[in-house]
Amino acid sequence: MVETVERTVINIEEEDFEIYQSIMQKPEWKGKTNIELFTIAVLIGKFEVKKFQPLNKQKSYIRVKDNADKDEMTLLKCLAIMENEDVNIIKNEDEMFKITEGYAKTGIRKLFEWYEDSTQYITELISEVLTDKFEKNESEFF
Amino acid sequence: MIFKSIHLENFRNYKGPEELSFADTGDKNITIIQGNNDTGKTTMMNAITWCLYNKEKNSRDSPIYNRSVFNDTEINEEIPVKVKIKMEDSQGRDVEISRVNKYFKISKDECSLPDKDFRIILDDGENCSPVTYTENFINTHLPKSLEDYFLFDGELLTQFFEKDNGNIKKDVFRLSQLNLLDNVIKHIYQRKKEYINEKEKTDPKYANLLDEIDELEKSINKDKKDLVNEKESIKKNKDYIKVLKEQLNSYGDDPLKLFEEKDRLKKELKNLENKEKSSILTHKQFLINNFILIYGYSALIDIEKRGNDLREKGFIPSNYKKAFLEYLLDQNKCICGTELPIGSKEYNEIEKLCERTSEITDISDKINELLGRAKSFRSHYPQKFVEIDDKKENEQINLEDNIENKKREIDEVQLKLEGIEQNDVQKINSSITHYEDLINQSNRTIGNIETNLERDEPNLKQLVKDKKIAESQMGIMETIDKKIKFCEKVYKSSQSLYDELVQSIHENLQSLTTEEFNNYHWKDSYKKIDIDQDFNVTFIKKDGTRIPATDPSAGTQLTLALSFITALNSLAGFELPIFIDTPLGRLDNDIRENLGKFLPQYTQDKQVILLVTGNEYSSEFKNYISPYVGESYKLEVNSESGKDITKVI
Repeated sequence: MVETVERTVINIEEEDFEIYQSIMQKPEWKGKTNIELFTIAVLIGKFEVKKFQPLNKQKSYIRVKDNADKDEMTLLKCLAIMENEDVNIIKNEDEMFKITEGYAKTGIRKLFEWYEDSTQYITELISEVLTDKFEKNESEFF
Repeated sequence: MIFKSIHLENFRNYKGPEELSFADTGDKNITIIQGNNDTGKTTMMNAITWCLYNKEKNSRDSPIYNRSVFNDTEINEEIPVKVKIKMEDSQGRDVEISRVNKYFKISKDECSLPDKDFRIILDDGENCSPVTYTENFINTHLPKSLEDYFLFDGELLTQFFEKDNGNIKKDVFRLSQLNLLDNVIKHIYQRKKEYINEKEKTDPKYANLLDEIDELEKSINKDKKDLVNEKESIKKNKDYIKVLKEQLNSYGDDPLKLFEEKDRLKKELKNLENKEKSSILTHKQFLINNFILIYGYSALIDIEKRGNDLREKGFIPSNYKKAFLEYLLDQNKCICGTELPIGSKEYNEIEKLCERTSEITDISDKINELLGRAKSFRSHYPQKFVEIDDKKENEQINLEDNIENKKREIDEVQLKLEGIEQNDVQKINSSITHYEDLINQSNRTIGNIETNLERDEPNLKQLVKDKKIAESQMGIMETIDKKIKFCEKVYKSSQSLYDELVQSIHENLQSLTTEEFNNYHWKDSYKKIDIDQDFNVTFIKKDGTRIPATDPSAGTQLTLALSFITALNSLAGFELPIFIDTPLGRLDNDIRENLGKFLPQYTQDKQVILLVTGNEYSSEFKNYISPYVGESYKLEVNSESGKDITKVI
């Protein structure tokens, strides 16, 4: 029999909860879900900050079951596989989500920093990093 | 009537006899009676009205005898209260009016009802005789109805214009003695009616004709008068509009249009700002919506590569799952369910197969599902991201440029409106609309009147013709006819004289009140005092707007009331002094100073008696008024047996 480890929730660093809340209250985030913000935080942590930090004190943020069919959940799993360089990690949700949680911790703080430092120019800033990434994708994958 | 002196005895806080002479008319026509509050100034006014009309101006319930005298008086002894005013009438005769109430003290707390005596003595230098019909004398020479126009309470003057306007008109006519002429008109009209009645008895048809002519003439006269008034009113209102339009023109470009333009630009600016806000928001949402796919694309590609690799190795889809093969070996069974002894050929085959099969086959379903989902997600990759992003950015840049341009346009309009208040312009504009409405109203009234006249004048002509025919047929009653014609003549000329006088009084009163007010008052924002045909008094401000006389501050109202009353006194034929109690209390220093400067000029040849407090009688006011002061008194209070006693010094 194959042994699998399952997770009920994805966690965030407890002290970052207020940051998540404050970002979600911004008008452009209206209608967005926790998993969308969390995934963006993971991506920023992985590709911009490029730093993993394990959680000190965790706080439940996303219910896995409720989001199982979402594209964001697919991406989180793909990221964990890419990071681990082994598809077998798919059996162990705990290990998989620990990777995403560690990148989300550094990523959400970066996103908050962007908002704090350039309230007026946040659009330009995000547009710029996205365009860079888009162009990089173009040259690498298309 | 010239007031020569007043003698007071035991009247309220005046103990024993006190006498004051008033300054005569002429160069030094002003009497100053100075006293602080509660020293007896108002009591002096009350003594005058008590003496003349047996009623105090400000009536009080307490007994009028002096309380200190009462305390000093033994029981059954008499307390005489007396006020005597000496005057000189227009024929140079001395007039002495005295009122005495004799009280008897009947207990330590009260007096009996008084014995009353009121007498008027006329002395023409040769004969000295009492007037028999004292009330008639007072009504003719000093009617109580005029009391409000020679005895004033300064504190109450601010309420002067709160009176019903009809009353002010009546008062003005009474003071100007127009009522005498009015009586003549009424009387002659009555006589004419009587003659017509007399004729009616002889020839009812003819008398009826006269009645009709009379009614029609009256109606035509009224219409003609109304026509003149309406035309004047149009002229006046057109003048106001002209002044207001000149004021608007003085602002340069049409300020109303500029304010409208500014409002329009501001609205457009607000729309642009909202658009910009909304555009920024949708741009942000666009970025957030595409963030995950763009940033996570490499992970999606990575899983795809891994998937291809596993496919090539035949792990996905898998023919066998490693866990299933292990289970068969563990149970010594074939896939078909038959027993497989360890070491048998079939058992060994399954064992080899199990060794060749990767563990990944156990999770191939999960991987397959993930690959499918990743592929589907990847298919939504925003190929035109940069294009759309640029478009959105350009849209914002355009909006920012438009906002800047709009702000510049607003600044340019604002520059033209520098120093112009929108409220002022709106006020002027609404005043213009108001006057235009009045003109339209007058035009409608004129139209109605002209229609009436077009109908009535030919009718009148016809009636006059009929009357002549009737007269020639009758050939009698010449005497009555002559009387009727005489009455008509007198009636018409009296009426026309009356109209001329009303017009003249009105115009003079308006110009004199304006002149006086502008001299007294420091504020040059009031251009003119307007007194309309019904004697409604309004201020016309420099900007042409009108405000009622009851609107400004108490000081301004008091100044206006003083101007109006002194102007009225100068114009009226009545010879009475002006008494004003506390006239300056509510006035600012500069108005007081102006009053001191100009009051003597406007009250020339009139006796003026001012009852003032020490504060009111400031050095500035005093400096100006001193050359015209003929008599000056000071009222002081001493305390006797616990009661305050006024002494004249």
